[in-house]
Amino acid sequence: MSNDTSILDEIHLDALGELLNIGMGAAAAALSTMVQQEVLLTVPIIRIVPSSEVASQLDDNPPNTVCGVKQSFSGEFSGDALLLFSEEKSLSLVRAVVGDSIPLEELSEMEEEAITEIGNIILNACISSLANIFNDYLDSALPEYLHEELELLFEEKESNANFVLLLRMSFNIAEQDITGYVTFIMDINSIIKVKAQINKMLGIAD
Amino acid sequence: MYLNENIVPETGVTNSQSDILDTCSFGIIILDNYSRLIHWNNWVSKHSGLTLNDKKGEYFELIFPILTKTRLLNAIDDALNYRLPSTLSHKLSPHSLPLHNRQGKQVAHNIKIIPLKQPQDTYHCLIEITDVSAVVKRENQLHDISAQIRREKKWASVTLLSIADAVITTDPEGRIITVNDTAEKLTGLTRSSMQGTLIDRVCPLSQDKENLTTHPVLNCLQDRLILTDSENFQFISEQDTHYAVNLSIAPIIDSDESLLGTVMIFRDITQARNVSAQLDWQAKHDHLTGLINRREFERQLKKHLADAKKNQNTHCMMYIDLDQFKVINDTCGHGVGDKLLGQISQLLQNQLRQDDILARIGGDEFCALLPMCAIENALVIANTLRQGILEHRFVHNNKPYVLGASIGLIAINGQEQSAAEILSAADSACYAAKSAGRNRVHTHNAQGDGSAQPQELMQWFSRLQIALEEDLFVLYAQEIASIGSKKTPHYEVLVRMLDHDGSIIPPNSFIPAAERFHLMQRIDRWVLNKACDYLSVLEKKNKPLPIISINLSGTSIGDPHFLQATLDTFEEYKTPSKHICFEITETAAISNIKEALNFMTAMKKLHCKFSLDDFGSGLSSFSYLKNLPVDYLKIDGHFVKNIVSDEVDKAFVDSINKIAQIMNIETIAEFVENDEILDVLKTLGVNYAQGYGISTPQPLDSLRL
Repeated sequence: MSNDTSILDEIHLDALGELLNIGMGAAAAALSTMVQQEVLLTVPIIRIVPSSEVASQLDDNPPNTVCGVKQSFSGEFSGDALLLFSEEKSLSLVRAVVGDSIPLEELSEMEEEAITEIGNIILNACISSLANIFNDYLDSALPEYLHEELELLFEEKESNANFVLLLRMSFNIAEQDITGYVTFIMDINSIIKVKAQINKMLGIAD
Repeated sequence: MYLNENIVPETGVTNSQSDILDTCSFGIIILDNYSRLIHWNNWVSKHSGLTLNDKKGEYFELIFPILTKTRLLNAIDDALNYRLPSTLSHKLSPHSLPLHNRQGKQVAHNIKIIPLKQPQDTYHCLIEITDVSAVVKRENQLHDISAQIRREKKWASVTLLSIADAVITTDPEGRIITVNDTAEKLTGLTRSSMQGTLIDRVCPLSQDKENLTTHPVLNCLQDRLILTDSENFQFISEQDTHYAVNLSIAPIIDSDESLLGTVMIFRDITQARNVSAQLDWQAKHDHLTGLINRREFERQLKKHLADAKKNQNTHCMMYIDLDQFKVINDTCGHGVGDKLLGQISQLLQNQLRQDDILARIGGDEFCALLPMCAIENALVIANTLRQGILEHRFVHNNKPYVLGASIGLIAINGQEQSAAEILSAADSACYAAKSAGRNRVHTHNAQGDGSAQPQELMQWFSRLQIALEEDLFVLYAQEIASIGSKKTPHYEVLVRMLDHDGSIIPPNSFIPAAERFHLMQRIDRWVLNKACDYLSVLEKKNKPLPIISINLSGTSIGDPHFLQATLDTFEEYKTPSKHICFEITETAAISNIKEALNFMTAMKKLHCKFSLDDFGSGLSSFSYLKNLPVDYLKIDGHFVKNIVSDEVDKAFVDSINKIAQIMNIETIAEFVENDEILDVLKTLGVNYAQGYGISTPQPLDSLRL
């Protein structure tokens, strides 16, 4: 375990990605019903990075401030699940969801509640996908709306919460492609548990 | 009602818990792990119109059948089966539950669904409902207001940006807040670089080229006074150029009298100033010579007349008319004429004193105002000017042209009525100088010195009119005698005017007036008629016919109507046209060379003769002589009369004669006053002689042929 990035191998990440994409299918269906148009959700990229590097790895051009939703979870393993967008992207998403008729400046007024609800649906899907690994459930708290500086968000508060599972989310809605990110901030123990579970699932010996 | 196949939920709420929940101002619903109702609080009963006891134990989707396939039911399912909490906002899931307020209006609500862990690892679910109607209403109002403000802001900003004036607003400290496009352009700075900067740093202003101690915007922040349309300020650009600006500054004061800032509006008026200066210049000046024009000259004249009246000063004024200018203008073209006028105005200006005012008031007419100048001095200056013009050599196409000037001079001593009167008197004096033979100065005499006054001129006009109508002209004839061999008798007819008392008025009295009032052609026609009549009478009497020379003015030669009239007259009198000779001056012929040639060609076909009058006095151009089909050349009398004593004049007459003879043109000497002259002419070989020494003019009718 000397190499941080090797704690989850390619094979584990692939398996996680697959599980998450299944979960996304359900979330997309929920969103589609809600907005009465087709929503496609995919997780094209999944990585595990040290939390100090999240800010720089989040995007080619990381935004200063981000909008998003946070949902804490606990159970077999615990952490915080975050869905993050650049401010601009979050407006685009809300606009795509509620339709084009409202001018962009006005959307910020209703952004908080809408983003929270959308985030809730997606994070619920992610959390239950992760829970599936354990054939169990994770308890999670109500979603909280975030509007914060990216750097502050990933400041290390606890010494052992130093890894982040970083998912790039692609929303395809109303002919738009909107990119967001889901991060799972987890401690080392949680990650080791996840790895062990995946190995078990895949029939790989530790 | 309870469903039989399921266990009735036993986990109820105690009375005390129920009481607490009932006091909540939001809705609480608790469902069991099969989504059957365990409890809801009073808020839900009130807003759903359903009573708890009726619905307890019933499936939630059956209590509210409207919820089928909604996200709310999914969320409940997630909570019960997957332990996942959910939030549903009124924004994305409006009116999830059929809830109404007392007025029957739908209640906008947010919903939170929270899984509740139970013993045996089962999960119940708590549904929390928040009434956001008030919030939504407030939001809507805010939305409307913000939309309106946004529209107004947009309106204002677009107006501001597109406004043609530069607009800059500042905060109460004088720091720039907004800058419109025009302000960017005028200052040469970008909006972003200006915003937040103190106004006096980026918009320095000066007043009368002096840098200001305090910027007017900062003054306005101090005293809150409005500055409107001030044109006393200059804007100093980065390149230290000063632009004249029209500046307005107003304080922006809130309803509570607090100062919010200022708005400064300015406009570059440099161009406007330049244009107005240019227009002003154009209004006062003659564009060709750059001298002042007639209007401005009259204004100056008025000013000096007023000064003469008030301070008993004497000023003088000259009216300068160029002689021979028309010939140059017509023969060399207007471009050349314009060039000459430029040269002449420069020449005049150079001869004048610093304070003298020179104007061009018409085609070839100039006026000079000589302030604080006695008439004696003015006369010296006038003669200097005249001499200067005479000596000016203008060369075009290698041909030199000589100009002259007739100058009318008048003193302004305060007794004159108006500027117009002074101008008119000077004009008359100039006319008198012209009448007296050009190239001279005539001084106006207020007491009347015989120079034609305006009234007198007008009198001539009516007298000429009457004379033409009443036939008050008479023809005299002067013999043009052959010097050598005997030839057909030749007479020049001369027109005289009859006064009412029957006395004869000499031509130098009325011909200048006739020229001025454009009556020469009528006089020419009268003469032609009389001459033709005379010849026809002689013919009827079977008398020998002389050659009759008729003087034609330039206007007659140049007018195609005159040609037609001549042909008609010949027709009418059956005139033997070979006995008609037209005398034209060189100047008249050259001024209208094309028409003159037309006339001459037409008349030549009828065998009329032509003689060129006053040869040697004007341009004396032999090259023109070559082109004009003339039969006779009349050598100017001024050379002839001194021929006995003056070798130069003799040589002059000799050379003119020789050239004429080579060109097959016969020569006529004028002013032959005695036999000595005639003898010289004879030796020189001049063909004809005319003058008092030969015979004096006598009435045509009394000729004895």
